[in-house]
Amino acid sequence: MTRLALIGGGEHAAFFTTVVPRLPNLEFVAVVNPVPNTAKHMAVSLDASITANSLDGLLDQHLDTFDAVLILESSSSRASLAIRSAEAGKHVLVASPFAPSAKAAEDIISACRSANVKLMVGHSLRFMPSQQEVKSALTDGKLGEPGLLRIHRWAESTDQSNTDDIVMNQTVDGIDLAIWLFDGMPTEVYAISRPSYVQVHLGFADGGMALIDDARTLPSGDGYFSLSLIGSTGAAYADDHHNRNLLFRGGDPNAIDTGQGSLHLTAQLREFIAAIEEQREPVANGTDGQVALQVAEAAVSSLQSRQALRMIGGSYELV
Amino acid sequence: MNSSKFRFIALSVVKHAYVPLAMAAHPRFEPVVVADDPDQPDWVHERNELFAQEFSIPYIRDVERAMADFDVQVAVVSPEAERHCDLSVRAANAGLHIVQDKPMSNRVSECDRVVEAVERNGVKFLLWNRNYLPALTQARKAVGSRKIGTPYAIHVDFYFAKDAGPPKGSRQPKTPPINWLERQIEAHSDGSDGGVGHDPMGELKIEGIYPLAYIRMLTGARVRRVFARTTAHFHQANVDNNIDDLATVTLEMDGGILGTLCIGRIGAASHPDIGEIKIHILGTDGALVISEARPEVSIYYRGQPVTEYPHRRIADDNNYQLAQNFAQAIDTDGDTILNAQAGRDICATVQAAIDSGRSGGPVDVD
Repeated sequence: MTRLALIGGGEHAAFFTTVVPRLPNLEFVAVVNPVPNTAKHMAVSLDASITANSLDGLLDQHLDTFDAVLILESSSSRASLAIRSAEAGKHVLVASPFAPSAKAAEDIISACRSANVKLMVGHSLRFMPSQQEVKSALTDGKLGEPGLLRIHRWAESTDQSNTDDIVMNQTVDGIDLAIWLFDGMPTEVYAISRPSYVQVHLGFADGGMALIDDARTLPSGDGYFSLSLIGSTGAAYADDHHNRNLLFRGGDPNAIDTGQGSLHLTAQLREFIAAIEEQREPVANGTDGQVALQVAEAAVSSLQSRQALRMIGGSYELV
Repeated sequence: MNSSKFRFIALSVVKHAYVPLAMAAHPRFEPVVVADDPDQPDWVHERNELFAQEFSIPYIRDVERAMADFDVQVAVVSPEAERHCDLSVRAANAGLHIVQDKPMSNRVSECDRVVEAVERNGVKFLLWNRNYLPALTQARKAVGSRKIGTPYAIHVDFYFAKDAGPPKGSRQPKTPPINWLERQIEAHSDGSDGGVGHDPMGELKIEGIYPLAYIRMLTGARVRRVFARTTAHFHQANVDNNIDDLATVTLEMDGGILGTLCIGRIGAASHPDIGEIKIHILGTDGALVISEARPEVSIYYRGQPVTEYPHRRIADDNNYQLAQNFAQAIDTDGDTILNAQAGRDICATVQAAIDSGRSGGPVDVD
């Protein structure tokens, strides 16, 4: 049994209430939230017995009651929380982006390595049922060598229009997905943008290529994700367009997303627990997260310079 | 409604003859002669002869004489890509309106000659395209109605799920590289000879016109800068001739519009139909996702040949509408849906993408 403390993520706690019954070897024992009522409410919904208003408070008073942390706090505090947890001997599953930079990620990786605890980054796109199918087909050799990956990831409009922030906070997950599917780092990075919108163009070894576009401009409540992977012997299409049903109410019909539920969260937590129990590296470990951040930083450099970057000797340099 | 007929000359019919056939099927156009230059190889003359026989019209091995002697108003130009523009220029200089097969050319300088000749002679020019497919018409209406506000990004996936000879990696040691022209001549039997010509052409050059014409029509914007990745991922002929069969292109356009293009001849196993062809448009007030293949009908049955597409496009009125558009442009002295300048700009975009793929950096479109 892995005993887990949930750090932050108030409004997302409800997602995990559906996960807990599916994972008999997982138990949420503690919830950390600075607002006592929120912490209490989350604890009740997760059947956790302990609440605290800070990680330090939890560690001070309940150090031995949990084995691992799930960090869903805002991105600015994730790195320090991850390091503090690792230093206390806790395994760490931390939402993406788990650090503000690739360099900062190194500190988290080192802390976890020194403490001999597992570090997993919440690149949840990998765990979506559709992406799992695509990856399986690729791993099984059905699609041959990956040649072209296309990802559209569109979300409703937010107050975040700074494209550097979009790349580092959102596009980084698409970048991780591309690296995972191509099983290697991009050799070339090029990006362009306009307010609330980013396009990242990646080149991979042996001619591979990927296009990721990330929009934050859809009307409220709307969202769209589409992935296509063209391989040398086959192709995979995981496209919200194919997975929408129609609702007629007069005028243009509404397209209703069938959705993939919260199975990706279950899969992610299952992998985290398995890595701990089997004493192995989890899928989407700290190094994976750091690599995605490194590529995201290259994309930001491309946005600023309007030039492409090429991997030379382990780092990206302007072409 | 004007019902007068235009007599047309087919200037070389070396590919699968969809353009001259489509023009001949329209009630306002009538094929009256096929012509080509006398120094063409035998296989070219043979195909020209076949088309002439099909319509019981003469085949003349002298382009200028045929244009002068047969009282024609229109030239339908469909030779190898590298001869497209030269024949179009000669037709324009003879005062003929021109319908030209795609790609416009494999060289931007040739396209420039056409733009100049068309302008100087005051004739109409239509570059063949797919802009009147039902889904494209729908997309154009949706964008025009401003339902999604002002478009700011557009993405086109344009995959043909077809094979093109032996797969990559199949060439045996000591076997010579595949000759491009011989491969294209051989491909004529199954209609996959879109790249017929002496100069090898990748998918960007052969088919890039279609998705880039969608983008041009839906945004009205010119592409100014590109970044591209290109590779030969599938077909030995493309590997042997150092040309792409798979490419991604980032597009920067007038008005700050951004875009991308994915294009490839990705193998028959990669899709149950002709291929995934989609358009994604983001606007200031919404977004539009279009499947180019719609509407379609699905038909499955026991013993169905693997070569038969189970999903069949229906209500495809593209050919008729293109010919109609051309006729109206002549009638009204209006413009065609894809004129010489737009075709030239697309050719320049393709060339910039190829250059970018080779250099690894962004390239300004000339």
